[in-house]
Amino acid sequence: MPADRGLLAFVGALVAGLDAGDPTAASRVRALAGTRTARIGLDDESVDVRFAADGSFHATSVGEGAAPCRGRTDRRTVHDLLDARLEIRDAVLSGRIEAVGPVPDVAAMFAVVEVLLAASVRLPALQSLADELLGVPPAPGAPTRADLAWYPDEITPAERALLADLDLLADETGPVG
Amino acid sequence: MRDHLRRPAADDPTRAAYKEWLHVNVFDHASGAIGLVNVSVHGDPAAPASRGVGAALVHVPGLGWGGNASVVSAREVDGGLLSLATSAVAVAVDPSSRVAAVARLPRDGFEVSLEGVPAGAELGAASVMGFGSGHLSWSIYPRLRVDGHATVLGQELAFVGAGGYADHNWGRWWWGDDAGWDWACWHGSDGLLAVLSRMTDRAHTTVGHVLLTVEVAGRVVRFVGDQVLVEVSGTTMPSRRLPGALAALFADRAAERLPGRVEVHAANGFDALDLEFDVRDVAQLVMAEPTQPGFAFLHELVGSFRCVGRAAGCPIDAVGLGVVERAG
Repeated sequence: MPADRGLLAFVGALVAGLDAGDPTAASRVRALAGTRTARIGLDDESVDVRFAADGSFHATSVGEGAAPCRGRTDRRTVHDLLDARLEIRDAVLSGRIEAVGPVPDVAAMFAVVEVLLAASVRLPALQSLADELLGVPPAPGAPTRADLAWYPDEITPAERALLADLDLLADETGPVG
Repeated sequence: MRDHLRRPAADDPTRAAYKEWLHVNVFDHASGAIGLVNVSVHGDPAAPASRGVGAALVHVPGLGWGGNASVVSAREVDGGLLSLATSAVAVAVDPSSRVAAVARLPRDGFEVSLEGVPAGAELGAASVMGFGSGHLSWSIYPRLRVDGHATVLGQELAFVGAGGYADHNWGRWWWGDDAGWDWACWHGSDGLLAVLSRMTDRAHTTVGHVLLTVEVAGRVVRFVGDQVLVEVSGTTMPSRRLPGALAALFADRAAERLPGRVEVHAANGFDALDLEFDVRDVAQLVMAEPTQPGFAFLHELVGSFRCVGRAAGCPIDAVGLGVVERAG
């Protein structure tokens, strides 16, 4: 996070900007999140976030015990994504974005991010937050390989061929990027 | 040709749907590099949410795409009589004397500077077409001879007498309308220029007005409507998607299937030509509507072509470089 604003305040500003600028999207975020609590992490910071029954947003320092749903990344990954140097797919496959939890919870977490991204196109307040994030250079790191495979190596050619015949391959021609 | 930016008046009730851009392509036959520089404004230029996009991409054979798209507030786009500039990307046009395009994207290790002078015939006056919920107009400038340089993925490129193309587009519509287009520019190493445009629906299943303009030996020939047949085959996918936030939002479009080959057959009773274009690579640019929910996808397919036939009494047997753009 920027030196003068921690993750806690940044997430709060994100939700406040959405509430003020696009109430419809804000309602959609609340409907997607429900009563779930998620632990989100960036670099060495983590916060627990949730919406209360009255719709109010609560972001707190990480408490005791493990959260059922966790999402974590680092600032360099955010930079690489926003600068179009990294695809979401490769970030997930390489472990630069880590999402852990029951499938419905993880799906809801990504859906909330989608709503935020879509709304930010029309919300200068959210665009300013992105600019704020990009204004602080991340720590250097090794580039992510662009030849990450969607399927593990142990899938046999015959199995892959069967999936292709059934049009069930996520990406028939290999990785993008 | 006289031309100028079409910024909306303060009392224009349609200004929220305003779009405008200046566009330049470079085709360097010596290196095989193909570049585009484009600065655009989306939405009421005075509205806080409206956006300006400066996009600069160069594709180098064997290296791939270099460059990026810089997205800023529309209020940060500097507009002149016929120029648009963000802090990173700028295009300026004097239709009678020269076209200049510059991009500096240090985070991408990318820089390009182009200066083009007219080297061909006038290609036609501005035209206006219905497009989606509104309309789209464009001016097309004469074929260019381009000098300049670029730094792309660590490689230095010098453009000396490269081919060039420039145009100006403006109108009113919403990104996300059920509308699209196919546009292409092919530049032969012998100076042939062919420009194709056709309006489509978003899915490219219906085709409206078709125009193929060909300049050969200083003369201009046009093919319209059913005088032009466009066929596509094969499959390619984008290897570069911009800008990053919208690419992340539309991760499902990363494997967009696009043509690997485009063929154009044209005949008007006097002239006829056949053009075969093989796609080398594709970049995807996601356009966001700042006024209401809506997105569109522009695909830039770069590659090489061969064209044979006859136009304006001249035999044609040309090879060269080109860009096909599919929008929708």
